[in-house]
Amino acid sequence: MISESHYLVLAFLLFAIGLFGALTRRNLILILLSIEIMFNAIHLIFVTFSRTWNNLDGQVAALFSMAVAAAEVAVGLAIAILLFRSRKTIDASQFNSLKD
Amino acid sequence: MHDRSCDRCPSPFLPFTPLGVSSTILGFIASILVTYTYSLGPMFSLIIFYLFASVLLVSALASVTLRHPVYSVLSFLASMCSLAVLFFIQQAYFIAIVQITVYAGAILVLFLFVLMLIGYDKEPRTVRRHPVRLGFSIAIAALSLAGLLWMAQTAGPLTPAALQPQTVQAGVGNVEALGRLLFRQYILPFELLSFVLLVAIIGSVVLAKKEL
Amino acid sequence: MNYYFILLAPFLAFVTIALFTRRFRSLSALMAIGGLGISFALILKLFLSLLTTGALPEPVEFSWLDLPGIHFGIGLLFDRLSILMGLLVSGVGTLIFIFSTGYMEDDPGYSRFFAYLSLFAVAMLGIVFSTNLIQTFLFWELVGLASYLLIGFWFEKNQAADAAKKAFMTNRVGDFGLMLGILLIWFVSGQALGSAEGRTVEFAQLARILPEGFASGTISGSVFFIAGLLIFCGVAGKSAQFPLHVWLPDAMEGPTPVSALIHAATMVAAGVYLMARIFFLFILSGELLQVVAAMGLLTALLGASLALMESDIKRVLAYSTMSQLGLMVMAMGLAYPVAGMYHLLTHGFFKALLFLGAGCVIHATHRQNIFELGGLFKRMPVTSMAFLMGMFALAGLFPFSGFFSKEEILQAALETSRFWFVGAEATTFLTAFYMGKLVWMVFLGHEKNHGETHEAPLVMTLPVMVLSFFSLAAGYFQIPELLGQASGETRTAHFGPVAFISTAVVLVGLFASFFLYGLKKPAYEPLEKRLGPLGRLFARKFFIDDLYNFYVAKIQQPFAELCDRANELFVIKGLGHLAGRGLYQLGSLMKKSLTGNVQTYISVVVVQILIILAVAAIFLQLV
Repeated sequence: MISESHYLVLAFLLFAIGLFGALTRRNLILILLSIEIMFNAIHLIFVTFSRTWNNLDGQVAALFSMAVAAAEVAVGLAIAILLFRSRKTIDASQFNSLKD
Repeated sequence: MHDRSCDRCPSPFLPFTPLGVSSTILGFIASILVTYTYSLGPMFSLIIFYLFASVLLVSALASVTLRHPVYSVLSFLASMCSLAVLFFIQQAYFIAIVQITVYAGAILVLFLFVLMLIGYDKEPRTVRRHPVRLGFSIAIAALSLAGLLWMAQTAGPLTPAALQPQTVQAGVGNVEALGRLLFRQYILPFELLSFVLLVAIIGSVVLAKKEL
Repeated sequence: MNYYFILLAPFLAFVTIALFTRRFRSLSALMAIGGLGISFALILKLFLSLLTTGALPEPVEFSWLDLPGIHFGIGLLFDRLSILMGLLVSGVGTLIFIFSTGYMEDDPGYSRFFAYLSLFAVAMLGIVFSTNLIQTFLFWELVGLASYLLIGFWFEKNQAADAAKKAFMTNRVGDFGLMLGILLIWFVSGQALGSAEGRTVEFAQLARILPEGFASGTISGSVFFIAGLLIFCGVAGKSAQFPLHVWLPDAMEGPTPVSALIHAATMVAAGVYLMARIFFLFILSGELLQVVAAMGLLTALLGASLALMESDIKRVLAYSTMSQLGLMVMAMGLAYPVAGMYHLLTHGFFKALLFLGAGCVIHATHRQNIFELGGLFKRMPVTSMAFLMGMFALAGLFPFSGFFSKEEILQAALETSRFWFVGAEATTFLTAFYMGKLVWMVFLGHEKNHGETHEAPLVMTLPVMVLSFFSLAAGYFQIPELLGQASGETRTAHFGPVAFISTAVVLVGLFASFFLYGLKKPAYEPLEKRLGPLGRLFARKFFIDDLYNFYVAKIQQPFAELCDRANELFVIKGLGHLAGRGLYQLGSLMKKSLTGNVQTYISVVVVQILIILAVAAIFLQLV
C-alpha cells in the first residue's frame, strides 16, 4: 500500500526543487514558474493529508490554494511585463537598485 | 516585441512537446484504468505511483534546469500532468481535473504567452559563471529538504483535534461531496475567493495594458 | 536649646554672605561676626553649665550613613576637651573677625573674606565637636579648603596662589595617611568585637573597644602602631610637623587675620587636638609615642632655628608656630596630653595676639621686613605693649600664661629623660632669642620710615587688648583641672627646679638678642656671617624646599606626563579607535549582504525560517 510518507517525501522533494529553481533562475518568468512548482508540492501535501484523515477539508484547501495561485501568477506576470517595459530586460540580476 | 537574440536555436517546440503530450495522454488512460480497476490490487497502484512520481520529479528538475525558457515551461506541463495522475490515484478526482484545467490549461498558456512576448532569451550557463550561487542554492534547497523530512519524521502523528473523519456516504461522489462542503461550511471563503479572482483580473489588466 | 546652631550659625552666615550680601560690606561683616558670636555664646553657656553643675548634654547626632557595618553621622560631642577647644576657636575667632573689619577695610574683596572666614569657622567647629572619625575627616578637608581659599585670597598675586596650592597639596599628602589610618581603625574595631557588624568610627565607642582589644589580645599591638602612625601623617600635614611643614611659612601670603586665626591659633592646632581626641589609641603603643615625641622635638628645633634667620615678621611668627606645635606634639608623645592641650590653648591666645599685633604694624607701616622697621614704640604704644606681652608669654616668662603651660611640658620632658628636657630647653632658648630680636628690631631704636605711622584704630586694638589680657591671665584659669585632671595632680611644683632653669634660659636668650639687635640695630643679619656655612644652611631652610621642588618637577611631573601619554595611547587611541574601527569594519562586512538581488533576500528568508523551525523544535523538545 502506498503510505502517506511516500507522498510526503515526494512533495518535499518537489518543494526543494522548486526552491532551487527560485533561487537560481535569472529569467523572472522562470522564477515564477519555480514558485508554481512549490505551490504544486503544497497541493500534494494537502491532498495527501486529506486522505490520511479521511476528511475532505484538505482538498478544499488545495482547491482554494490553486485558485489563489492562479490569481497570483496572473498578477505576477503582469508585473513582469511592466518591468520589461521599464527596464527592457527581465534578467533578475539586473534589478539591483536596492544595493547599498 | 523584441528581436530574437538566439538565431541558432532550433525550434523550441520540438523536443519536449512529445513528452508533455504523451504524458498527458498516458495520464488520462492510467487514471481511468486505476479508477475502474481497484481490484487490480495494491501492486498496480504502487507501479503507477512510482512511474508517475519519477516523471514528476524528472520533469520538475528539467523545468528548473533547462536553459531554454520554453523547454522549461513545457516540462512544467509534464510535471502538472503527472501530478494530476497522482491526485487521481488518491481519489481526489475533482482536484485532478482542476489541476489539469487550471494549471495545464490556463496558467501554462499564460506563461507561454508572456514568454513569447518578452522572455525568449536563453539563460546563461549558471554552472560555469556563478558556481558559488549555484552551490549556495543547492545547499539551501537541500537544507530545507532535510529540515522538512526531519520535522515530518520527528513530529509524529499530529492529530488535529478539530478534524473529524467524515464518513463517506454511499453513492456520493467526490465532486458532490466537495460541492456540499464548499457551499455549506466554506461558503464564505468561497465567495471571498471569487473576490480575489476578480481583483486579480482587474489588477493584471490594469497593470499590463499600455494605455487605459 | 538646639546645639546644632553651633555649626549652623556660621554656616548660614557663609551661605548668606556668599549668595546675597556680597555688595553690602558692613552687613556681611556683621553676619559673620554674628554667626560665630552665636556659636561662642552657645559654647559659653555649655561651659558655664559645666563649671556650675558639672553636667554636660549628651552628644547629638544626625545620622548620615546607616548600613550594616558602618554607621556614622554628623553631630556634636560635648566633653571638657571639646568645650574648651570650642571656646578658644569661637572666642579668638570672634575677636579676629572684629579685627578684620578694620584690617581689611580697604580691600575690594571684603565680603568674600568674611564668607570664607565663616566657612572656616564651620569647618573648624565641626572638627572640634566631631563625634566620629569620618566627621573629623570631612571637616578636616573642609578646613583645608577654607585655608586654601584664604591663603590665596589675593589670588592676583602669583605668590599667594602658589602658596595656597602648596598648602593644599602638602595637606593632602598628610590626609592620605589620615584616611588610611581611619580605615584601618574602622576595620580593626570589628575585629575586637569579633564581628564585622560592630565596626565603628565613633570616638566614644572606640575609646572603649580599642583598649579592650589590646588588653584581651584580639588586636595585635603593631596595628595600633601603624594606625597611629598613619593618623600622625594627617597631624603632621595639618600641624606643620617635619617633613610636611613647608607650607606654613608660605601661607603667610594670606592676609594677617588669616594667619592669626588659621595658622596660629586654630587650624594648625587641629592636628594636636585630634591627637588628644584619639589619645586612647596612641597610648596603646609605646613605640608610637616615641616616634611622635621625636618628630615633635625635631620640628620644634627645626622651626626655632629657621626662625632665627628670617627677617619677615610674619614668617618669624610662622616658624615660631611650627616650633611651638612641635612642643605640643612632643608633649603628646611624652604621654602627657593635658600639657599639650594646655599649651595649645595658651598658645592660641598669645600667638593670635602676636599676629594681630603684627597686623597692626603692617597696617600702619605697610612693611613686613624687620630691617625696614624700627622705633614703633613711640608711635604705637598700645600695640607695642600688647606685642611685648605676647612675646613674653611665648618665651615663657613668669607670670604670663606661656610660662605655666610650657612648664608642664618641660616637667614631663624632664621626668621622661634628660634628652627631651635638654632639647626642649634648647628650643626655649632659641624662641626667646628670636622673639627678642623681633621685638627689639621692630619697636626699639629710631624710626626707619618717615612718616605718619599712627596707632591702629580701636576696632583693631580692642581685640589685641583682649587677647593680651588672656595671654597674661590664662595661666590662672586652672586649665589642666578643667581638662579633666584631678587637682593636685599637676606635676609642676611651681617654682621648682624646672621653673628656675627655664626662666634662666629665657632671660639669657632675651639678653643675648638684646645685645645683638637691641643696642645698635644692624643693617643686615649678623648671624648669617657669624655662623658661616651653618648660617647659609639655615638661611636656605636646610634645602628642604629645594628638595621638594626637585622631586615634584623632575620626578613626579615626568611620571605624570608619561601616564598621560600612555593613557592616550592605549585607552583612547587603542580601545576607542579599535572599537570604532572594528564596528566600522563589521558594518562594511554586513553591507556585502545587501546585493540588491531579490533571490539573495529570498535565500536569507528561507535560512531564517529553517533556523526558527530548528529553534522551535528544540524548544518544544521534539529533538
